[in-house]
Amino acid sequence: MKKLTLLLIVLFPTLFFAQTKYITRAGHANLFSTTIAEDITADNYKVTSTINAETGAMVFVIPVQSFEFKKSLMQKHFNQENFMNSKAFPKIKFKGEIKNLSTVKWDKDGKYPVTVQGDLTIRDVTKALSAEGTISIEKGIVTASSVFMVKQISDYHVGKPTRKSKRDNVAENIKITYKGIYKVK
Amino acid sequence: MFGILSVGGTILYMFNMPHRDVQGETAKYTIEANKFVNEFMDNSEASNAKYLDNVVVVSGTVAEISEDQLKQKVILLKTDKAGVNCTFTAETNVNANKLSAGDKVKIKGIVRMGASYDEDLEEAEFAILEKCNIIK
Repeated sequence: MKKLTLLLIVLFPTLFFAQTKYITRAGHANLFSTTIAEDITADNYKVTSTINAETGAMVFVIPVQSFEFKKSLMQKHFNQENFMNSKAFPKIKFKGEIKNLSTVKWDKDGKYPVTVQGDLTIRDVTKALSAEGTISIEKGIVTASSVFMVKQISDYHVGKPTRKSKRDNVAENIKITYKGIYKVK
Repeated sequence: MFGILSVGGTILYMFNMPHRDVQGETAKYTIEANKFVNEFMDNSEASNAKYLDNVVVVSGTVAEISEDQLKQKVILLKTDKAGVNCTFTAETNVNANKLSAGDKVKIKGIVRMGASYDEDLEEAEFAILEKCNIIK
């Protein structure tokens, strides 16, 4: 009997060990900048992200050119060299980990508040970032969501409009809203 | 007076400049999905410069059909090393709906990101095409 169990474990490891990695290639990120002059918002539905339930590692890759603005001129400015320079830096990356991993019961439906700490890289500049979010488990479907601020975007060499009259139209701190629906890898 | 009007007109046009009509543009490159992905895998810098923000037609075999959070259809063209994820639009979804896995297809769209292997994701990143439609 022992031998048979061992054989089964070798042949069908997924029957015995919980799948621990989740992935989405269609996460939604919204960015929001607000100043006295104007509100600017853009949506991106092409976020790739993985969650490792065993280690708590969370990784996000955001294609810069997939941010859609209501006004095409704004989209053009966003991608151009002195701002995001998306031809040279096509991705934004966040690599972090869930700090309170043990509180998330991956096999039990519920909403689990999480704190994620890691490094955000924009235009080859990496800075520490911490965000509060929620991992929701519903019938085995894992959804991660969060609202957080990316502070001091000029530190990432993200340029401001050069015209003085437009300079203050872009906020220094950008609000990001994220929601990703994951499946077992 | 005319000067003011024309400057005003230009500003108004710039402000309301329409979004790119991807399907109305002539494709800059026509390429097979595997070759497209491999070009990025072999030389991402050169391929980014060549393809990003350009309209292409990619041919390949449908591996998977899904839907994003905007209810846009996403057709995955499977390749040896990664994949090409092609997002349709509210207007073109109807054409994506006619496809099934295994179909050979040519898809036109704008390139938003190339394919690569990401050691942090421990996964291949797929190439991303958006504003897609099927080309006969």
